[in-house]
Parts: sequence; C-alpha cells; structure tokens
Amino acid sequence: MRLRVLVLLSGILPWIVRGEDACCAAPPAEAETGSAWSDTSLFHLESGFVNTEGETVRLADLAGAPTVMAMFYSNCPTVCPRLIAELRRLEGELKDGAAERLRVVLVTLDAERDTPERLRTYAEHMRIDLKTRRLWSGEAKDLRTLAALLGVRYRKEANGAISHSAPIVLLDGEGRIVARMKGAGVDTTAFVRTLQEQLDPEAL
Amino acid sequence: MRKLLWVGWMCWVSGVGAGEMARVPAGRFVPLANSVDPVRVAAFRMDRLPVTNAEFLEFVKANPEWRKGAVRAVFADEGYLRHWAGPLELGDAAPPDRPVTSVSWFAARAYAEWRGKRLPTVAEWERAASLTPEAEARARVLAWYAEPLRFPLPAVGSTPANEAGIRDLHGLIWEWVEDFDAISVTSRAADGDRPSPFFCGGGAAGVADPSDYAAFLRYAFRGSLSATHTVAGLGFRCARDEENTP
Repeated sequence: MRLRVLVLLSGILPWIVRGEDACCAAPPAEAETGSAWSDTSLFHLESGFVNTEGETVRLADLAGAPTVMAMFYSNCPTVCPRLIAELRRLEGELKDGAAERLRVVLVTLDAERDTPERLRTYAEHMRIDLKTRRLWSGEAKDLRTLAALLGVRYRKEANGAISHSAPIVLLDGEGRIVARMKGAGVDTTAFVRTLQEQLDPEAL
Repeated sequence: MRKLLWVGWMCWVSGVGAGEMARVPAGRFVPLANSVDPVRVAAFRMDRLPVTNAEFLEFVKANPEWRKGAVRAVFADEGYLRHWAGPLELGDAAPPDRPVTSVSWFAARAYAEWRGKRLPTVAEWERAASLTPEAEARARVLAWYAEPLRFPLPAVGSTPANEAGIRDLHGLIWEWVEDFDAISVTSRAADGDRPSPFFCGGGAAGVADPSDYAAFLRYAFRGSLSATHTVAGLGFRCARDEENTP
C-alpha cells in the first residue's frame, strides 16, 4: 500500500515540478472529465488485471515512471522465451544505471491457464526477478482489450497453443506509447535510445 | 417501402415473441487457411439485427464517456459517429432504425458489455453467416461488396432472414467481431508482424474454398482494421453464450 502511494506521488510530483516546461509531451487534455491523462493515454483503461500476489492492478498504477510492456503466455514454446531474452538484451544495452530503474510488465494472453500461482512458478523457472518485473494475468476479455491497445495480434489454436505477434511497447509515465519494437531479432537502436531518455533521472 | 419493412419486422418480432436474439446451433467453422483445422463452434445466441443508431443513442445517454466528442482518442479515432448530428442527437444522416456505424471496436465492445452481452467471435459470426443458403448468399454478398455503400444506409431488417432467423449478416454493413485481428496471425508468422499469406497474390491458394471470394474479402477487411478505427459502413451486433440465456 505504502508503495502504491509512493508510486502515485512520484506520478504527481513531476507534473508540479515541470509545470509549463514539460518538453516533448503533448499537453494533458481536458480538465472537464476530471482526468489528467492525455487523450492517447492507455491509463484510461479501467480494466483490472491480477498480479502474481493475486492483487487487482490497473494500468494507471504504472503512472509516474516509464514501463516496458509485452504480452506472452507461459506454455509458449518458442516466441516467449525469445521475447524474454530480448528484454534482457535491451536491459544490457542501457547505460548509467538506467537498467536498475527499468520496470517491465509482462501480461499473459492465456487467461485460462496462467493463474498468479502459475506465473510465479514461471518466473522462478525463467529466473525473472519479481521485484522489478511484474507478471499480470486477467480475464480473457480484458487481456484482449490490452492486446488491442498494445497492438498484439493473437489467435488461440485448436491444440491450445496461442499464435501471437510479440511487440515490445514502451509507455511513458503518463501512459502514452512512446516507442515500440516488432519483437525479437529487430534493430533495437531507436527503442533503446527512447528508453534511455525516459529512464534518465532528469527526464523523470 | 423500407419503413414498411421495418414496421412489419417489428410487428413480427412482437407478434411471434421470438426475442431479439436467435439461437445458432453448434457446428463447425472452416477457417480460410488450409493450414488451420476446422473450429468447433458451440451453440450460442446472436442478435437477429445489427445495433441501430437509436439503440446506440441509449448507450451513450447512459455512458457519457462514449459520446461523440467525448470519447478518448485511445479508444476511437476522430471519425467516431461522424454521421451523427451531435453527442445526443442523431440528425438526418443517422435515422434511428439504421445500423449504427463509424464506431470503434472498443466502443462496440463497451456497448455489448453494457447490454450484458459480448461481440461474436470470427468463428461464431462466420458460422451464423453460413446458415444462409449458399448460392443465394454468394450472389447477394458479391453484388453488395461490388457496390459502394449508399448513405443513409437501409434500415436494419431489410435483408431476408437466414435459417436461424438472423438478418443483415450479408448485404447491409460490415460487422466488428471480438477477435477481428486474429486472422493476420499464423503459426509461421507469429514471431513477427509479418503479413499473413492471405494478402499476397499466391495467398488465394491457401483459402479453404477459393470460390468463397466474399469470405476472403471479409478476412482481408478485418485484417486491415485497428481497434480504434471507425468506418462508415462498419457496425456490429451482439452475441451471448448459450448457458447465459434464459
């Protein structure tokens, strides 16, 4: 709980500090409906997801700091292990301690099988540190909504496998998509540059 | 004439008491790609008619965040309800009995959820569409696909009912489905955003039934959409699981 308050505070503070000087970002739209997020912010999504502790989480909980997001499923034999390896590679390319500030949220595409317990086991198996990496599950309809927002295309096959594209998406602290990569094995230069900028303490 | 049809249809519905949803019996759906096994589709319920402007107006009255001008860019592009006169006003270009179009996938789903329903899947939609006598459907569908849409669109219910009592699956509008974007993924292309074999010239060889050109067009169209897109001839109808139906 205290952590969540901190996260929220760290989301509000930059607004106060930066004021009018906010650089590259489009100005936050409309005060009328009471939301500070810009029109293109994914934080408008109200759907709840479930983390590995079984708690309900929302995209807006990620406010205040950049987040790398991708979708996967734990039974995935090929694409997902490569995706996770690619995320490690990105981390390795970051400089000046930025990797320590990197937050990654991986959301499953498999609502049926990927329970919080199952995702905890998967994290252990894949040596994913749940202190800095988050694995979320949720209801099938909400996972499909998120996939649409992140541009992940997928289909469940008759044999239980899920064919899916595996883009890696960077959200800024206000929930806007500021960079995306098509998946593993592509040029990472532009993505890493934006990620490094976003993680630069002066940018936060 | 169209008004008469509409009135006649409404009388028929209330007279027979058939309800707004039809039962689609379980069956198989053969996806276009030969590489994919036939999908078993469980019995489900589907709206007999597409959602109308009048029905969508009720939804936006109850849900201000989905009104024209208020909807977030992350959920719908700037063409959202472009033919409506205002946030709560249909106007001449959007008569109440016409199918609502220019709505995004996000909006269609929000409407369905508000009604306690959901969007049909591709498999369900195609299964329901297959209950139209084949030759008739193909001729009508292709004729419709070949014609540019005229606005305002005809009223809902203006095409003949299929075997399940569902109208307008062909010949009125395109319709959103829950997994509209699934088709551009194939097992082989899954690790990138590579285009699926449906879209290249040789792709037709991978179609389950090459003579079903109309189905091919639907797949190509769905594959070209993003969830925020709004299209003047694209609306939707709702579905529901069989067991949830009283």
